[in-house]
Formats: sequence, structure tokens, C-alpha cells
Amino acid sequence: MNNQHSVSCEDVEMYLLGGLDEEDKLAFEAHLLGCKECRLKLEELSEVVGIMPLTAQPVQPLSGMKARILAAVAEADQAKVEAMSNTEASLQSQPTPAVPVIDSASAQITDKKKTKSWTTPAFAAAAAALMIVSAALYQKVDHLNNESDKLAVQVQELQQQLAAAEQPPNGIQVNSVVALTPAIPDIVAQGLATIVIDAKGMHLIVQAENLPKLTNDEAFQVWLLKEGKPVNAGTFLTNDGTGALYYTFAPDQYDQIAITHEPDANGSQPRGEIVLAGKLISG
Amino acid sequence: MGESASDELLIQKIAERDSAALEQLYDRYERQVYSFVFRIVKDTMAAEEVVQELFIRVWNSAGRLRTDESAGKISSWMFTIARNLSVDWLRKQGRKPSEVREQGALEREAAPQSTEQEVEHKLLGEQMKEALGELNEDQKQVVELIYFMGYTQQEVSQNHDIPLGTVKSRVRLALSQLRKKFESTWKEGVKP
Repeated sequence: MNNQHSVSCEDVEMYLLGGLDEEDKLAFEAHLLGCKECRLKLEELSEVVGIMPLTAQPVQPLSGMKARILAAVAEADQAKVEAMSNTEASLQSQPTPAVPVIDSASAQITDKKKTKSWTTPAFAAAAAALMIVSAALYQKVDHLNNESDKLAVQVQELQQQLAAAEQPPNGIQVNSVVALTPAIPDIVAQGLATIVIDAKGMHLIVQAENLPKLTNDEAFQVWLLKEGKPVNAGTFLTNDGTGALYYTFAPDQYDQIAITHEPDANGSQPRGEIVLAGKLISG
Repeated sequence: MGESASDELLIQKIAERDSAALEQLYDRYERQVYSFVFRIVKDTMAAEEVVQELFIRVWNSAGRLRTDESAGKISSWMFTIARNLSVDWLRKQGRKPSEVREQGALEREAAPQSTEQEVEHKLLGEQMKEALGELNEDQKQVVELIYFMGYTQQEVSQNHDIPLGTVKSRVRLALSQLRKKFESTWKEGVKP
């Protein structure tokens, strides 16, 4: 198995099917630039591989998926725009929208293969073939942006929630961010708990969506747990299954956060079942 | 914008930040992409997350796609991203794709296909199923393990004790046979 990472024209099919590991994939993409035959073959076969997804058994998505996804796209976009204008310097790795992926991708690869020289028609053909592989290349280009995108979304959320405060926050520092996951099978709720620190103390921001419906006086209650002992962090109601809560508390080492479904908003100890929970690890 | 706007036109509009075009592309592909992703990740929430990430990428990278030379390739492009994201998810979970819990497969039968394109894709999907069914067992196995379960050729070779060269040749033969099958279909005028 010493020869695992050498690629050749014989790997077109494996590349297209997605069976090459990262190293082989990069090597093959470099090979592709200099091999017209492979580019042609790739183009021919990609049509066939492009049909394979259509063999999947039709499955109905969860209701409301469209609204959630389109909202997420809008939010990610907004966060991106804000992050770009606010922290231009830190986002220099962001791909420029106007530049075709192909150009940046081929530029990357040609750096590695400086000895290759090709004519303009060859470049055009390579560019056309690379359209097919742009998804894979884009993923790589995009990989570095994921972290900054996520961070930008968090920053935006914090900004929105803190905008209501009387004094504009200064020097906010995120201490920890915890994804809250369902504690009961078959529910689709999800949430995010963020702890931020400023001069006034520690603040907990909880957001949750797709929560089960509340009836009568029912409410959701947030608990911070320290060695299994719950501390009431407040209650909230929902709007279309979405709810949020803001709580300021004295610094302490809590190890867990949980959201319970309570019969009313007046409990001092948890009575209902846990809907969402997550482990807190302070940063 | 009419029902008939091509994928390429929608991508161009998306590149101009036209959210109605994104919605139209979403409607067109929601079920196909979701079903495909679900086939790989076998988890309802994960499938939604992957589809969400896919459309965020479509939105952010439409401007960098060359639609002039790529007629008919938009769906392939989207499926490729969807597959890569799905396989990434499987790997991040740290569980081998084959160990995915089957009980998570909350398969809800989808409503019958409606649009012309959906019907056409369903037909193509059925033809592909038939073509895959005509492959020999060895070829079927490698296609399933690699394409639908996300294993690399080295993993298939090691886990199933098949020489790497044999894995490669099975994939080559499988795709060559599928292509032959579809070439004759396309000559009859059906093309994705």
C-alpha cells in the first residue's frame, strides 16, 4: 500500500464517484489541468453520475423546512455583509463574489505546478472541465470561511439582543457558546446558549426554536445546573415555537444548562420534563 | 418569473441577490436534494442541516459559477455539494456510515411528483435504478460503499479485503456500463 497516493488517468471514475481521499483528490485535480483526455472523460461521465442522486427513495422533509432554510440563508447573508463591513481586515480570506471559483481554484493548483505551461485554448478547456469539479474545490476554498461565518452569526445575534440595553455594551467577550440538543426523542427543537461577560457580570442568552406547543399557563423554564443542583434562570413563552431569554447572574461555575417544559411560569424547582439540554464548559 | 426559468437563469438571478429566484430553485430541488441527502445521512435533522448549508452555499457562490458553459450542470453541481456535505457530516459524527442507526430513518413517503421536471427526474431516477440493478454484485457493492456511503477507495479495499486495483477497476467498469446504458437512452431524446 505504499503507492496509495499516486493518481493517473485511470482515476477519473473514482474521482467522479467521490472515492479519492483528500490527498488523491488534490493530486488528481492537478493532473486534470494538464490532461485533456481526462477532462473530456470527466465531462462525459459526470452526466451519468449526476443522475445517481435521483435514485433515492423520495422522503418528505419536516414541515416548515423551507421557511427555516430560507431564513437561515438570509441570516447568513446578513451576517456576512455586516462582518465584511465591520471587520474587513480579518476576513481577507473571504472569496470575492465577483471572482469565478475556477480562477481562484486553478490559480491555487498552478502554484503547485509552476513548471506546466498551457496555451489559452487549453486553459479554456480546463476552465470548462473545472466547472464540474468546482463543487469540490469550492468546498476547500469555503472551508476557511466557515469558522468566520459562524462567528459572524454569533456576533450578530449578540448585537441584536444587546441593542435593547440602555447603555451600549463595551468590550463584550463571549465566554462560552453551547448548542442545546433535544433531550426527548422525536422532537426537533434546537437551541443555542451563549454566555457573555462584560463589566456588569455574566449574561446568559438562550435562544430556542421548534419547541413543542404551549397550552394554558405552560411555559418553558431555563435552568443552570451546578453539580446537579438547578438554579432558576427564568421562564419564557414562545411565538411559533421560537423563544428566547436573557439572564444576568453572578459569576459561578455552572456545568449544565437545561430547558424544561413547565405547567406554569412560577416554579422554583423543575417540575416538567427536560426539552433541551447542553453542557457548559466555561472558556 | 415563470415556472420554466432554467436553472442557469435562476443561478444568474441568485448571483444578483434575487431571493425569489433562490426560492424557486429551492422549490425545484427541495425534495430531490433532501431525499438524496437523507439516503446518505439517514437522519432527519442532519438532512435538514445539510440542505440548509447547501442553499447557503448556493446563495453565496452563485456569482462564481460559470453558467455559460455549463448548461444542465447546475443540478450536478448541487448534488455534488450535497453529497460532500453529507459525507463530511457522517465523518464528523465519527461513526462509520454503515453503523448509522436505521431506526433514525423516519421515512415519510413523499407526495406524488407534480412538476414536469420532477416527473422527468423520477423517470431518469428509475432508469438509473434499473441500470444500477444490471451491474454485477461486485460493482454494485463498490458503487454503494463509495458513492452512497462515503467510503474512500482505500477504506473499501481495507474493510472488505479487496485489492485496491480491483476496487478501482470495478468502479471503472461500473461507470462505463452505466454510461453505455444512458447513451442509448439519450439518443432517444431524454436527457437531464
